[in-house]
Amino acid sequence: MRLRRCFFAGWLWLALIGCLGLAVSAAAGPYRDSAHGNATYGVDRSAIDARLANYATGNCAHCHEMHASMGGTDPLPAGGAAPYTLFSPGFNHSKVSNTYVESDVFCFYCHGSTGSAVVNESYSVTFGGATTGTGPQSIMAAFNLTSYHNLKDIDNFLSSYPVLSNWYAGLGNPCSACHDPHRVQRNRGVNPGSAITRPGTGLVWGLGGDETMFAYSGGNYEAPYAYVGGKREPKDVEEDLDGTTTPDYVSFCTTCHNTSTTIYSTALGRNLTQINWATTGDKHGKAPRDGAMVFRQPFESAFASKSNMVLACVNCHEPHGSTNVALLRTRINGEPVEQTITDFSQMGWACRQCHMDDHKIRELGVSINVEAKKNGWRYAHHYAEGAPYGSPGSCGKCHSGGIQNPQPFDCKVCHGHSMTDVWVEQWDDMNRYPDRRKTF
Amino acid sequence: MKISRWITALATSGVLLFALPLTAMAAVSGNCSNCHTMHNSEEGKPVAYTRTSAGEINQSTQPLANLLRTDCVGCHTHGTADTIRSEEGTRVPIVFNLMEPTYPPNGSATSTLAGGNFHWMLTKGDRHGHNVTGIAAADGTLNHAPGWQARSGECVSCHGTLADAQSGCAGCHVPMHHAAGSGVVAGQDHGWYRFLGSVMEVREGAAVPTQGVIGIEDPNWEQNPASDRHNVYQGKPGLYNDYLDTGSIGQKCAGCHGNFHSNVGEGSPWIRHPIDVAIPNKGEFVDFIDYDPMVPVARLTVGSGDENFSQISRGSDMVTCISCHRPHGSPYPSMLRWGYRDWPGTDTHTNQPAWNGCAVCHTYKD
Repeated sequence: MRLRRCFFAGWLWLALIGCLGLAVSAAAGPYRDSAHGNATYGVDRSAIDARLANYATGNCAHCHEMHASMGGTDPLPAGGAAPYTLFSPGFNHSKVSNTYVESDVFCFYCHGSTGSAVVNESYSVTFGGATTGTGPQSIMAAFNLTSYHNLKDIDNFLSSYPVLSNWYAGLGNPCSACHDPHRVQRNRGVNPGSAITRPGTGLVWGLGGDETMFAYSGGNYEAPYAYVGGKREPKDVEEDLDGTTTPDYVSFCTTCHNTSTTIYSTALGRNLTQINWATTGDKHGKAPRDGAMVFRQPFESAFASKSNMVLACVNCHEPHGSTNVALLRTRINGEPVEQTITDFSQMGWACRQCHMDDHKIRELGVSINVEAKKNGWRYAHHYAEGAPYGSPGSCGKCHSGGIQNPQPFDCKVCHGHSMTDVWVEQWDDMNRYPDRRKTF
Repeated sequence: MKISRWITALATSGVLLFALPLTAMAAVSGNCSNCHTMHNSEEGKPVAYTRTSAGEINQSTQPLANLLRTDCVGCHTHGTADTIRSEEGTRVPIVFNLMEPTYPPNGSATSTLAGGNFHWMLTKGDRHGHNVTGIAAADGTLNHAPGWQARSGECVSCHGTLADAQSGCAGCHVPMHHAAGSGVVAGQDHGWYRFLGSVMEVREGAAVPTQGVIGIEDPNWEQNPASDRHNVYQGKPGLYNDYLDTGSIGQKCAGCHGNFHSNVGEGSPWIRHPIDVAIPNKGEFVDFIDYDPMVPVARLTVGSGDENFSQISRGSDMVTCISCHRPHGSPYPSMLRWGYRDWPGTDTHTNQPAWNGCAVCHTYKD
């Protein structure tokens, strides 16, 4: 009898242990939840060295070599042991500007055009509704465009920025600053995760709670169109008007791009403009709007209910690279930007995606004596309700070409992060416009 | 001449590897006749035997040295899957089972012992164990131990391959089954932990190695391991200077696979996985708390009181070669302790979801 009880108790224990075992094996950690660690679509180096085909998708060995030896030889790409036991060095520190090749950045072996050649498209495509295949097809390709998030600049900044330098020293690869390779998730398809990890913590950022644009903006984020009149960004989400599924890119980007950091840009040959998205900063951020907004949809309609709309950085900028300057997107608010922006003076081509230029206002049938010119801003500056320079009287005071043929100013004279229209004072000897405005 | 002296020394000390109980006594116990035969004759028939690489017994009309009934492989091989053979008071740990032992270890009679098992060399090939003479021929791919350069001359018999009559088991072990040390820590007076004394010293003429691996042995050779029932291995940070001066089990491996220890970088970021380096007491490692016999760590200066320690000491306990590898062999390539290649998919040996041994230390990477 006692023996039978023992036997029964034993089975109970076995059952319990079995259940626990199942529970443990079923629980995925952050790596298996990541894009690299996924057993189906995770990392796979077998296209580089066929011997890796013997390793499960997502296995550590696709990036790491414990001894830089497999069957007595260094797996491809050969080159000996590398820091972090990676199969090649994380970053070529002598590479100060593009064009990058695979060996410059460890990640590019897969996120480039060779190897497993993972297809990563631009933000404009992935979330913004642009046609698949119309932009760069890999991260490396994006970094080799006109403007790009210079990796050496990132490396220099993070190595010297006291807040993050100790943390960054443990990474050794500028990509990892925003994309912890063991945590970043696939951000498209079924149940999309977040492909960004916050600098300083390395934790996945933007999946909900306080880490969304909805939270950052206090409900004042209005998701731009992915398709005009249709779905909003991010395009795969059925209905997200207020940023509940959009990561808080502002907090994310301003981890580095804030008012206390000095970040040198090799491309610009100067320090970047500091970004102030708080109420004391830009109007596209939390600073109160003023004057003529000349919004297009969906912002025009949202204007009534949202007291002070706040933009996410990615509404205008690509994170990796763009054919436009300043990483400006090629598709904004559901439509392609009609011209490539090769200089900041052409920035209006981006602005007109959300604000009405003279062409758009005439399209609406507004009766106004301005030419229906694309990227023309006469209406917004002089005739719209609340226009900053209404009733100017004399064109020639400010514009070359005089009243007969007034030439517009370069957008960059007034518009850019942190700028105001202080320039007006040099022309406004009649003091017609005494109040200075924020212009961004 | 030197080699024959060396062989004599090995033979004199006996061949019963791995028979060191926890308490202080000779490594081997039981009737003398369990291991020895006075005349290689019982009822007019020869007693001595060796085994073929397939495990078959070859009766030998020629007596073996030191009146032994058989050699290392002969004694530590078993025709069944049982991993401890008991015979009239003598318990013999089995490292080569002809029938497949149980893996991972589960405490059964067929549970694989700590050092692994050569069985999978037989069934799966070269990548599943060390190619040791009597069990396997020389590796079909490697012409020298990975992690070091090719050697010539007499060095080849160990550094080139252990599938050589001049090395074999004795390429790593210096058997001293009659050593009778005191205390729980297996050091020189025990004939060193697992008889892992300095082979090089013996080759250079020493009768007894003065250097060797130090550790504490589970009385059942981890047939039934648990976090509080396991071997204890010594480790030693820094570069090694001599053959086995540190007592580190990693130094034994580095004798042939040296670059995997010495050429790893000088600190984080490592260029190869570090060996005999303390597990950091920070970051993801702070969640590594309990000793896991599937991923053992080495301990600095193993002493009495360290037996069966159940929690690791971050900052001093070390990762070592056998944290990941089983030197005799395993079901997995590179003698790994778990299905490293298979994770995060299905374990090709167990057909269960693969287990991630890396995450025992790298706790965030699961």
